[in-house]
Parts: sequence; structure tokens; C-alpha cells
Amino acid sequence: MTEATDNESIPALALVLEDEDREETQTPAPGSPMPGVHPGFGWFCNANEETGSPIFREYVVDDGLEIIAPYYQLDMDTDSPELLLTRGRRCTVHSRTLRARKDPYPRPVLTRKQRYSFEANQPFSRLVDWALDQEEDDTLKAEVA
Amino acid sequence: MTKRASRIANHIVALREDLADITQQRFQSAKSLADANAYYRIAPRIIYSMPPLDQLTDNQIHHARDFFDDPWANRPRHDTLLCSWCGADDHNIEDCKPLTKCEYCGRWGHCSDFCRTPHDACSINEPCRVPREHARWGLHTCPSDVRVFHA
Repeated sequence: MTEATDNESIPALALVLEDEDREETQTPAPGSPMPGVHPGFGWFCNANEETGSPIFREYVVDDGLEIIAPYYQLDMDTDSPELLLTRGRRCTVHSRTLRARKDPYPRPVLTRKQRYSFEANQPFSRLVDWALDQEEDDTLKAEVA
Repeated sequence: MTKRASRIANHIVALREDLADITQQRFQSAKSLADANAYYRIAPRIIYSMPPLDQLTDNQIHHARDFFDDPWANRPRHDTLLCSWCGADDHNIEDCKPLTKCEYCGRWGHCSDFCRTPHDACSINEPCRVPREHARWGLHTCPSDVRVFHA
């Protein structure tokens, strides 16, 4: 007996298979979430171009799945800068407080002198801002801001 | 009049709680900067590199660099401090004792520098969160079991 005849003999199964085929070929309805599709302007791929490893190793739970979000955006316009994460276009946007990226090794706590170096409106503040720009680490800049 | 006084007092309490939240965030931020090795990443650039002169004049750069590299300059200059809560000129209002919640032990009424149990902020599997210059660093047992190199 062939597969087609099998499906015809069980009408319910045939309907299910037909539905599955339709889901695969159909384009998503406008307004529905599109995971994996680039969300648009301002969003970046959460992967290092050279190594392919995630830039932000942050997990998000969406539709019962716990995954590393493929797209991210930095929101610097708030009082405390935020990291926005999403799975794709029109998917849920998750926000996290943006923290400076950790050094792989444990580091001692800042001394009073070192902590004072990051105070705002000090004689050296512009030099510190310039040095932070040179570091090219947005997470570090956000932490100091 | 009593109701109004009570309302204002409650408002002050709420604002004090907000200030404590911000202070705690500031502490977390300092912790993140330490974990990111932020100071040692920027200090060599500031001391040894030359920023473009279109941003700062040569004189400004030298002045800023001297101030940054001065080991005794570990807090804002005295003449820039003024507390409008108690009227003292040795701290800013956000560091005034009656408004302050300790960053280390989380209790009200004292600054972190005078905390009697600073290692309350430390935990196992993390480096110690109290700077060695703290008056009670060695007088209280630290639960941290992570040893770190101090430059």
C-alpha cells in the first residue's frame, strides 16, 4: 500500500498533513511575530563577526524556548542604559540593565581613588570620556554614564 | 496642619528610599566597573597617550592628567562640597549621614566608610567587595574565598 493511499484511508491524518504543508509555504500574517527575521533599523546581530560567538550571552524565554537572543539594541536614552533583546521582527522585546562586560579574571574592588576617577564633572572627566571612547566598549561607556 | 506635616514626612521617607535605591545602584555600578577592570584599562591611556588637541588644550590636558595621577586626589575638592541638609561643607547632600544607607551592610545612619561590618557585602565565590583602605577591612572576617591580585 502506498503512502498516499494510507492518508486517504485516514481522513483526519490527511487533513493534519495538509495543514502542516500549508504552514510551511504560507507567509506569516501581517503583524505576527517573525523569529529569526532582522527586526529593522537600530538592531544588531548578537554575534561576533570574527568568531561567531554571541556578543551578549543573555538568555531570553520566548514561546517556552530559552535561547540566546539573536538581535540586540542598546538603549542609552534612559536614566540607566538598557540592553534590549529580541528573537526577531515583531517578537517580544526583553530589556536588561546594561552592565560593563566582565573581565574573565576576578578583579579587586575599586579603591576610593579609582572610584573617584569615574565621578562626573571633575577636572579630568573629559580625559576619562576620551579614554573610554578609545576603548570602543559600549558597555563600559554605559556603565560610567 | 498635622495631616500636612504627616504627608510631607511620608513624602520625605519615600524620597529617602529612592535615594537608597540609587545609592545601591551606584554600588553595583562600581562593582561592575571593578569586574570589568575599567580603571586599569583607561589609566594608561590617560597618563601616557595624547588626546587630540582639538578637544582640549595642552594646558588643560596637563592639568587634568596631574589631577588624575595625584594619589592624594581621591575625592572631590573640598571647596566644591556643600550639604544643604545639615549645612556641612565636607560632603554632598547625597552622602549626608541621616539620608544614607550603608552600601555594605544596608543599615541606615552611617556612611560606608564608617561601617562596622563591611564584609556583610561579601559572599563566597566572589572577590571581596571592601577596599583594603577601609578602616575595618582587617577587623571583620570576610566570607570571600576568591583571592585576587592587588596591583
